[in-house]
Amino acid sequence: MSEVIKVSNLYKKYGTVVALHNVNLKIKKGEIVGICGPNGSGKSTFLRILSGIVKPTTGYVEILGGVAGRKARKHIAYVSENDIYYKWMKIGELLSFLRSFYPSFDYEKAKMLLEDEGLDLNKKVGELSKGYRQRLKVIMAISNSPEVILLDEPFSGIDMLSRERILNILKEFLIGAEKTALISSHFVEGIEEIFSRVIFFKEGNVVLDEDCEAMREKYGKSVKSMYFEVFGGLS
Amino acid sequence: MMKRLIWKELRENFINALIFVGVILTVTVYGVVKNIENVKSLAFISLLIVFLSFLMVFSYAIYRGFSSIKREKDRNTLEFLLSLPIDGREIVTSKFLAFAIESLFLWVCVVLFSHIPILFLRLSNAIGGAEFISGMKTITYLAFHFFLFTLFTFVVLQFYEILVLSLKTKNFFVNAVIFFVYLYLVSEISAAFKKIFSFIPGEAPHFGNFLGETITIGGSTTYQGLAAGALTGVALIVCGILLFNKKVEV
Amino acid sequence: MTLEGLIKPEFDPNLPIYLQIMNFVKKLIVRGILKPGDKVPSVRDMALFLGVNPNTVQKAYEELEREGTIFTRRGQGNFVSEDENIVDKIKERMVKDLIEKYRKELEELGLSKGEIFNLLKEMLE
Repeated sequence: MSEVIKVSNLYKKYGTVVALHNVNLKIKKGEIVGICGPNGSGKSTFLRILSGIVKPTTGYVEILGGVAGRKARKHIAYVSENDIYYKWMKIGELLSFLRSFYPSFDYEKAKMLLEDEGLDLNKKVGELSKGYRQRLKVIMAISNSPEVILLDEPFSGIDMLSRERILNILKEFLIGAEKTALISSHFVEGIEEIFSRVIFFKEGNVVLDEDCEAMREKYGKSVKSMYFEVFGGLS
Repeated sequence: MMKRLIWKELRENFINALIFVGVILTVTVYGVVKNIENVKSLAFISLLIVFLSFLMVFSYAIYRGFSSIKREKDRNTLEFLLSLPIDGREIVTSKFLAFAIESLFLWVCVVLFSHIPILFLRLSNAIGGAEFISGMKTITYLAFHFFLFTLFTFVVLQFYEILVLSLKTKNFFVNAVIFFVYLYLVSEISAAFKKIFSFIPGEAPHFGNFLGETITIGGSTTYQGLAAGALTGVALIVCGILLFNKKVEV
Repeated sequence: MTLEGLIKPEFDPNLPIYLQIMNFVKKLIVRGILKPGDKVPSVRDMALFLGVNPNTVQKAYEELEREGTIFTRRGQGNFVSEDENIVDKIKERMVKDLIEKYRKELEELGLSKGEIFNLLKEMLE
């Protein structure tokens, strides 16, 4: 299987704060990787560098055969933790807007998914509650049928129903589709079963990088239990 | 892509345009009504509208040029733009083009409204046909030069914004010093460009005779000057794009 | 066979999921939902239904094949063994595993073999 993401000696500093120390990873096509770690551990920075919106201080990041950046983004979807859409845009306008940037954007599929979630095309983004904004973000990301999808805390701070719905959308999209996904999440219940691999970040370093099933066989621990062991139950 | 980006910019800012038009319309109506008896005053109102508009659009150009990207950064929408398969190329030029379109619209309105008082004078036969035409010319050329200048102002301020974002300096006085050094450099560069274009002859159509008064603003504009200004503007946009791509992050 | 109408099992994330998937498939065979010779749901369909990574299902299927519970027909997918005794064989193995598991636990509580036998006799009457 081909390597979709190659990271060598990645080091990132914001001013005097070091966000990532010497990260080295390779991720193959079709892997669904869980990225876990406490706040400030570098998970977000890592995903942002992969998506190309932040540049490494030093180090080499290759994604889909090219350096992380503008060209690669045509086939990458990055779902940020933040509310990044223009609040005044209607959902329908957002669809047209995105469509013009991605040649492979599936307008009909997006409309269908939005309808399934009860999102009205005439509603403004700013009028949506957090759970619905999150669903919107994930649907927009998926509608482009990206080869790689990077999700930064897609389940944080939202109600349980939204969480379930987003999980379902993601599972439908990822399972059996040979898509590569990196999902950073504090919350792993109900999602760790789809991870093939899990990577733990702590203070900018990778402290664990294991195949999930191997971890369960070797240590008899779920991702959740391992998390508590590695991070001592502190978040 | 660019179309959509420009659409987005225009959508975000059309309220400003409406308010501007509203203000200018009010000033025109008020000015005409108040001075309806006096020929000289009415003529003056025409010019006043243009100059007042210049003040407004100039300030607006500064505001837009300087805060546009910063505002997107604060609202997290810059992150949205950066996550799209675009970079500084599209972001910087779309903002400029959108401002240019908006600015053109505003100046066309200004030209239309500022013609109202002298049209009034013409229709009531207080002035003759020739005078009316020279008045029209003056107003139009004046507005045209102002239009170009406000575009230039936008570009100058936009690059300064990118510069400040790249340097990540937050202190007011430090940024103020940077600003003045920057302005000095820009003027030096424009002057140098002007020398390069010294082979271009002639003066640009300029405001001359307006109802007996000669209007000039710090000397007439030459084609050299316009070319130098255009080249400086283009250089600033290009450098802005390069700097944005290299240094601006979310 | 179709997975529709079946209840999705809850997996314990502390234990290897592929083992739990294997048990799930074996239970389907024992219950007669999957009969000898039947086509087993594709890796993708099973993964979607269970909400797990397809690699995990793949591993489960490989292990089941190694055990002889299922076999692969090239280009057609996975099928339940045509051995008509397969149901009984699986049942026997599963029952034995269960009994062994509880016997161990009861011994840990300090019960002797005799005590366990008498307790069972009592409870089943």
